[in-house]
Amino acid sequence: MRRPWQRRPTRDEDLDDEIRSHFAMAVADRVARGESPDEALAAARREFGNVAHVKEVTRESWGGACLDRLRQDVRYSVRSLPRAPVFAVTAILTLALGIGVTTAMFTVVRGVLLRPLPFASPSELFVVSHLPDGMENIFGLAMADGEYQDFVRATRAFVSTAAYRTYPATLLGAGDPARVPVAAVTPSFFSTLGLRPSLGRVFVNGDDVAGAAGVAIIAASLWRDRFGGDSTIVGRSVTIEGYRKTIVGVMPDGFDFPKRAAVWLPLSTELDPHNARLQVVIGRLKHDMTLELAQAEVRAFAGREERETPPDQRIPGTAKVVGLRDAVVGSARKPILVFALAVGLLVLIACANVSNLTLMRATSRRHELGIRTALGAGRARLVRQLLTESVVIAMIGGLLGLGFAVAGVRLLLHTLPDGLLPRAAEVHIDPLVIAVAAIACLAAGLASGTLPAILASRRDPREALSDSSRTTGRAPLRRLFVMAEMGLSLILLIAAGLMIRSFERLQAVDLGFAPGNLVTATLDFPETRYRTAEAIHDVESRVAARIAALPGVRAATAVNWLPLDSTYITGDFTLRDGRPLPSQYMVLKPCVTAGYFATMGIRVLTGRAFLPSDDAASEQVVVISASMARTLWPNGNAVGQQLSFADKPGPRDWMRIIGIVDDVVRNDPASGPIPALYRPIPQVRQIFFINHLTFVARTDGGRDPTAIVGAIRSAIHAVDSEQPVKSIMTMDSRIRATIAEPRFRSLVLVVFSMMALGMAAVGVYGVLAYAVTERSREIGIRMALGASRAAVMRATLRSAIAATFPGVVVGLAGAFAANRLLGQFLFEVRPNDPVSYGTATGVLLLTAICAAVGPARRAARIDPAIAMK
Amino acid sequence: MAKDPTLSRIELLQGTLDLIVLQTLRWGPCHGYGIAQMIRAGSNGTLQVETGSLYPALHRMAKKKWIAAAWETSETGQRVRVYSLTPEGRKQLAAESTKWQRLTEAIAGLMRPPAERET
Repeated sequence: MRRPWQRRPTRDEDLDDEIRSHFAMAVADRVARGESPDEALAAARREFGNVAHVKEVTRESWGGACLDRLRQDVRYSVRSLPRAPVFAVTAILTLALGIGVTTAMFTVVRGVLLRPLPFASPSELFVVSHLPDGMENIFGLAMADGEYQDFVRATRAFVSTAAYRTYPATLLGAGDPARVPVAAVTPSFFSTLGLRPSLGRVFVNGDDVAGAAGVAIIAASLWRDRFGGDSTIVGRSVTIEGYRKTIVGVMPDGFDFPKRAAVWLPLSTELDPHNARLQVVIGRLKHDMTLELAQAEVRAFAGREERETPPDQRIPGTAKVVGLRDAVVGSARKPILVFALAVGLLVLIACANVSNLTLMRATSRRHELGIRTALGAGRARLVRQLLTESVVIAMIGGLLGLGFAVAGVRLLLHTLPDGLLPRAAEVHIDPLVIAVAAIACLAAGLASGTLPAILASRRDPREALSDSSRTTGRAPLRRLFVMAEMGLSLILLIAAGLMIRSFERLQAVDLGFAPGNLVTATLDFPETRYRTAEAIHDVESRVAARIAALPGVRAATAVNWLPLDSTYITGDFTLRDGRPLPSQYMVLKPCVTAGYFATMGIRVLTGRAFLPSDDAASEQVVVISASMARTLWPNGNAVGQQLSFADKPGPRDWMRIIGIVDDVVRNDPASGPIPALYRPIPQVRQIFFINHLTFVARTDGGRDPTAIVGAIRSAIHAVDSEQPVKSIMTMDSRIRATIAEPRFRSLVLVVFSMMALGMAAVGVYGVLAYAVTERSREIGIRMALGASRAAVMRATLRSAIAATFPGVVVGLAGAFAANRLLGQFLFEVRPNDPVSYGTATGVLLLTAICAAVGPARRAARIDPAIAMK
Repeated sequence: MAKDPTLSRIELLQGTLDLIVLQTLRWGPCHGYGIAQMIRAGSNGTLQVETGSLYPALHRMAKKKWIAAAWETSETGQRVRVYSLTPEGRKQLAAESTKWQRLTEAIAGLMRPPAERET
């Protein structure tokens, strides 16, 4: 009898008692019938059957006790792992890789594509754009300021609108002179986004009126780095681009919209009759408005605007409303999705690989499983046990993978070219990411363990315990896994091959100038300090002369908009002979010094380059690019013709073409050249054209370019000590920056495809190594019958290639199906490029053969005398 | 003890075992060993309930409240678990036996030689 103070027996103890009493009664009955106690006990045992099995199945009928059994299974799994270290390490590492890249990728996708923008009700925020067709590629989403005014008056769909522009500006009065990203915003900007300052105030109506006291709001990062987080900052003044501004507010931490702005200034949208400036327009939709209604409203508005334009000036344009997040993420979405797809393939390969490994391990554990079945483990129990092992492996792999992901994300953000990934600051691992990683672990464990567990448990213990080592027909499934791994790896390999080929083409593009040994330094001349074109000419010629005099510098020149720099302006002009320009014909208008073409290595094709004598006093001259000459003067008589920038040129406004030069690429090698019309700096009167200049020095290549960089900086400061130098860099590094994105894409795909290849190699190795063990008897017989070692080896290698072949077919088909997607990222390489396909297939086959060499040699070393025993 | 292997190894459908156990408990509370003995004796040794089926069935039905389990102490001081039929178990037994009756009649009809069936 149980006393109140006695511990209540557990269910297991109860079951033990129940079975013990069953035994006792059975033995007692038999003894009573006259059997000897020993006989009775033996008979009772025989009759009762397998005690462990009875207990096991009875426990199963309890249900609800899973947790106990789970703990038992997990303990068993952890204990059994060190018994197969190679299997455990390979499986854990494979899954760690798979889960690591998935988690890292998801972190990026979440940070960039999924996380809402850090504004109030971000889904209500949209960008409104209306631009002539074709301009959007250059300016992004934008609207002219005059039109913005009309739009603010007309809109019913938006409860609040704001406009902004961004540009770099010189900041003085806060430590060293610095170039900082500035956003000029309408006073409604902060309220539209729903943001409050952490100190001071945001802009109010009136801040933007011409003649109002200059005010500025600064970012938390600038406030901390440059002002030491001074809480009395409001009221201090700084100089931005030569203008004094009073700081009226500090924005909260992390806010740097748009484009990592560090300073916000009020943007005046008062109409300037001479200039239509483009700016980004954002709006907050009214609660009861839909995107469709807003779209319709904006389209109707744009149609009205166009109708009011005289027909001869009308340019077909597109009006649209785009979600602010989509606009911010913009072109980054597609590459991210392609990477996500590549990661998906990688994870599939990892799962197939671990499945394969588990399957092989289960086969080699036949004996153990047989014993456990004989001892009374039910089938369901075995499946659960094996699955638990897979999940335990996946969890260990997952923990490791999470570590990989943390390191990977850090590495990614570190190596990522600046500005390539929008919202990079918002990419970090958070609880949701960890939750997704955990689910990925569980899914990977179940996906890789289910099939092997079911198959391994479906076995008669008698067969397993008899020591036969005949092939058990699991081979087709393993081959299927290897085929899948091979196919998926091939897709990644082909994608990587295409990207590499495309990248090579990009590097081989003729830039139109000789980029080697060029060092560039960009300066801005704020109009507060340089009021006239003469002042700029003066400082420009002094800086250029000093740079040219540096040891190791052969020549120096200056240009307003350097090739491969992202800022430039195109415009139209008037021809002297009265012909109209082709529709929407716009050219680049670089202003250069006399030695520009020689220093840059741009070939002069016809006529002459600028001379120092082409100055303010002489005839106005221009040099045009070959493509402009071809378009406008197809007969080749361009030199000597006249043109003007004025809409209604007077007699003094004409400029004469004196030469034709080679085309030069503009933004980046892939987008190619834009027709250009060069002018000599001394003949340029508008400050606007020349207050942003890049000095270019051609060095003799003998010196370390960094030494030249330092010398150039001091040469500039010797002329003007208050002049911040925006950037000094070699032309080669500028080129690298423009092709950083395709380079990064190729790199990531190469890394992914190498991981995949490694896993596929493990798969092939596993299948063959296993087949050799299974068939060692057969191989022994063959050798006894006269097969040479070489023949055995050849046969094994042949079977490796045979196992690879279906995978190759699947992979080629898969890559072919992904043609259109990949094609968008390729430059001068067709998505079905036979070289990429061929090389990738070759690499895959070679890997398979390398993986097969080990098992093949083992097969060849089989001693028939031992194998057939 | 039946020596005919085909007879001794008749596997009972799950529901059938439940029915037999409930039927056995109609005579009064009994422990697992006793139930096994009664089934064997009652079927003249044809039905041998394996312990691996009996105990899960008992525990399952106890969980469903068709039978109640209680601990008693035997004269040798051994704890013995004794099962008894609950009212719910009785209802279940009645329903199951009707079903069983209909099933056996149907099968018996099918097993009769065709000539006999025509009459």
